[in-house]
Amino acid sequence: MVAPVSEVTALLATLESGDEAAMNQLVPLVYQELRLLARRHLAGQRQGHTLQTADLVGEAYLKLVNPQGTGWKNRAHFFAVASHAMRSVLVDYARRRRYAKRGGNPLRVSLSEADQISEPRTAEVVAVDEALSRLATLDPRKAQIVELRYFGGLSVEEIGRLLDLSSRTIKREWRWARAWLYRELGEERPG
Amino acid sequence: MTPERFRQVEQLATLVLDQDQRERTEFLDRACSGDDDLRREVESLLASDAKVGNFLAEPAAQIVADRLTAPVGRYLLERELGSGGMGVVYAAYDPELGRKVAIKLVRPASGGMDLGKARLLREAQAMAQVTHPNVVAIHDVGTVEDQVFIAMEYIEGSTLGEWLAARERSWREITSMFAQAGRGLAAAHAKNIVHRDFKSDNVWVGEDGRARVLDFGLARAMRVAGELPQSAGAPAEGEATRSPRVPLLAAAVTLPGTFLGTPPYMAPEQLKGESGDARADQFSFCVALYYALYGELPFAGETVASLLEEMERRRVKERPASSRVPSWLRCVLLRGLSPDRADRYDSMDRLLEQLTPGARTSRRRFLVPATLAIAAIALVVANMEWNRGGAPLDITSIAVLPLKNLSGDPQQDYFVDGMTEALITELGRIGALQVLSYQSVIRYRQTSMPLPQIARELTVDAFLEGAVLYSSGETVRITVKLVQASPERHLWAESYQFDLRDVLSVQSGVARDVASRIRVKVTRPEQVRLATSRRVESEAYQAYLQGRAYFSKTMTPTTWMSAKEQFEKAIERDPGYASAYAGMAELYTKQPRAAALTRYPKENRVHVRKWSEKALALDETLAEPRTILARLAQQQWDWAGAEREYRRAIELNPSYAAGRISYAMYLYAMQRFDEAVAEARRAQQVDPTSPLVNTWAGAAYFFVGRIEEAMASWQKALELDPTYPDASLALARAHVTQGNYQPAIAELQKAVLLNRGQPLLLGALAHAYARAGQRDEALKVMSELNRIEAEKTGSVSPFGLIWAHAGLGDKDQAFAHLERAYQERFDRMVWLNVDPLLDPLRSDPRFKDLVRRVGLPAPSSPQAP
Repeated sequence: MVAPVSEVTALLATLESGDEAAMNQLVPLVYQELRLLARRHLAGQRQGHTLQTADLVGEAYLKLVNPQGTGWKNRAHFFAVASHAMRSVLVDYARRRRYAKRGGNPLRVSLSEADQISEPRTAEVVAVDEALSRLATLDPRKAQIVELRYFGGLSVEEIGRLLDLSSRTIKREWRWARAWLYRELGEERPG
Repeated sequence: MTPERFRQVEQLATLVLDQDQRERTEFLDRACSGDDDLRREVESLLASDAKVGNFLAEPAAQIVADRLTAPVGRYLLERELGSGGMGVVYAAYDPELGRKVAIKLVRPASGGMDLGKARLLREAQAMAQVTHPNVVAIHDVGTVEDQVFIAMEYIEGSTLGEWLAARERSWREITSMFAQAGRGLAAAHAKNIVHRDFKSDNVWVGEDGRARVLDFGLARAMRVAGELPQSAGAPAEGEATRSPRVPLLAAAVTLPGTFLGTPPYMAPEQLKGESGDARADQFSFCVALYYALYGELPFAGETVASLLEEMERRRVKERPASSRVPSWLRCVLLRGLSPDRADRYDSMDRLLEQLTPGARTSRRRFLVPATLAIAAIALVVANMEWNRGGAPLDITSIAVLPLKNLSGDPQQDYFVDGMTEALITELGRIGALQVLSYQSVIRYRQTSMPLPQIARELTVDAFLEGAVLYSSGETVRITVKLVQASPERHLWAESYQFDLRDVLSVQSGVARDVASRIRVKVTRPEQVRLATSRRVESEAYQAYLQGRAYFSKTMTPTTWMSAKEQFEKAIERDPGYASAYAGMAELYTKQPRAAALTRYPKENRVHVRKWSEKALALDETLAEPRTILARLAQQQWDWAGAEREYRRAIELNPSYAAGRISYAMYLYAMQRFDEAVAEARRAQQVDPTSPLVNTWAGAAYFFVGRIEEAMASWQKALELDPTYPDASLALARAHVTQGNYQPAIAELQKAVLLNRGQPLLLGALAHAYARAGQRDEALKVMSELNRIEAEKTGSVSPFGLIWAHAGLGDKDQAFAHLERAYQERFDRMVWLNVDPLLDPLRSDPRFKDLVRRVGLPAPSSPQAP
């Protein structure tokens, strides 16, 4: 897979200069890469192999971006983009699992681990994704923090650096976002 | 729900958690004051928060997949340290030797997996042969699945690239660090190992300050076997158009037919497809060092082809004009950057000899004393045409005009305004100088008004004008100019350039310089306070200024939360920065929703106190938190304590108008009217444009019988803010005291209209009607007041009702509400002895009892004029 290194790097630089349109161009590129990586990680690996978000995102970063780029800001932007893309990858996967259960979709990623995943929990991933889109209209920053943490696997400190806020603020935002999502998932909340 | 509503719900929920468990319900009662929807929302959010358990605790990816615990070889991976062009590096643990190691996992590029793996292994084994202090020690190599791992010594530190970026480094520091790395390269060359991808990110700088080169030969080992034989060859026809674009700085890319590498750092022979020898490393070394010293790459070029052309034509960029790198060093680099390797130095060792200053005795005269380089503040005297004759300048008052923002970026206005405010605070520490408040000068930000006219408006003897140049990064430049107002005369100007972290000491330094120029007496304790040398983290300082900028905006739940975030950030980035805590204390006195109802909602006093005390523990010379503590003491009926804090605050910052006017209000509550007038006058002088200061100064004048001055102050307050309710109240109270009920009624009617039935104004209006004998009108207003009271539970200041009942002669009712004001410690209890609207109650024994319980001195009858 030829990675569009310079394209991604250039888009990140554009993003850093404040051009948000670059985000829309970046996400599909990163999504593509993450999807391939996730499939490789998930399929055909030996028992117990992991899918750690940070690994995947890190690997995608490695493949897509000139790591020296323009410093960690650039890297941070990438992680923001990648968290967004990762959300799609994970939700797609969780959805596929549900189809697979119903009809044996050929897209089904055949892994022994998958069977260990309890159905309600993957459903929760999908439900969170949907509720998160609603949260984004009410408070985009909270939605982004959830995306970075829950889907992107970033730590509070990393998110603080990325969004240029204190850890206390991130924790508070996370707390209310989580409470709001919890309520939002309400009765439909599985498990 | 709207975003603003959600923000409000969130703010209240946050405040509820701030409260003591027992006080939460009561807090919610007050804060939501009858808005049941709001209350339900807040309670439901809090309920979800309490039940949330481990919801979302596990990242989505963990849910979708399993956890990996498989070791790499015998090593247990602990965490990722970083990733580079060659793979990912992990911190790992070697259980057999019981030590920490760094594991690099390298995945050969696609195609030719086995070949790639074999080559990688061979290179890694070769690397393991090099033992040198400046080369990372290799412990072990092996394979795991499709990856090769290399176990290396684990050293705390950072890459050389990060080391360079961490702070500004002198050319000597940089050269000496690179020389270490160069010795590592030389040691490898001695074993016939060529690095082939030298750049600062392939050098590790340990916390011991030692540089170690990483990743020898990996670049070659990463060669994409599949593409090698066929498509190699010389640069093909049409190269210019097909040439891969060079990523901005330093991407590791695989060029067709060559090796994985980083084009801007690669020697021309490497770019043409040769593998390169030790002299290629020399070239890369010089590119990296060049970049470190000048902040830009030596050769421009958007594509490999254009880069190659620049290199071959020796078109090294011009040296930046500001560069301090000596020219001999540049000469050394240029030789290393020769396109023909025969023109470079014979070996790394020869290059290093030329680089090391110790070997360069003949050039000693170029060396700058190191002490100069670390001078914290560079002073550049721009202009010094002040009166050297030594005749004392008669300057006792000064206004700092808003500094100009030279960055041209309105985003930086907060920073420039913050510096203006800080200069005012620092100058304000000098007792012999009256310094105009920030609020009174900020209006002149965009003005084209000539200075003499501003001087007349503000009645000052001199101005400090200036400009700030700051956009981002660490360096700030400010220029200040001192101008005598009349006759207009330029006294002095200076420009300061400094590291942002030194901003606090520069601010007080400017104040000291100004004081010495105008020969104003600075007492010994003032000198001490002005001699702060504390550094502040630049991010913390910026966040603090951003937080403060919200104080000049209307407080809404959104601005309140945003200010809180900035102060929290400031505290987190620099926990020793006192002003950030003071900002937090002040913020808690300014809650948007509650603020309209009572000044300090009692549940938040505990936070106001906590933050004020923290601020003072770090810097006991801050006047603002002292004033806040004084007001808290007052609410505790601790009169002696309040006075102590007020006096200390004023001593620390004699030009602090808010401190002076609060003290004046305290003083007339104590019926020490003459002292109150003196404080009020000083407050008015330094803050002539504040409706609050003018209103309460007017009250002080009124109490000592200076009716005209009082009226003028209130008129001024109302000119500045026609809707300011306290000014209308003060004016109406004066009329009532003098028995002029109709003007009082007119003033209050207007104010009620402008303030949409504010309860205090309604209460005063009912009082005035009743005293004027218009009982029906009074009762009408009273019923309106009762209606509002019924709608908003518990949170309305009871003084509206107290005044109304007092005017109507319903003493029992009036005392019932007074009792509540006593229990809840409402601010206005302080003026029990001097509030004319309470006159009808004064002879009642219950009133005397109340005065006694509050601990105020017995009224000095007869009542004020």
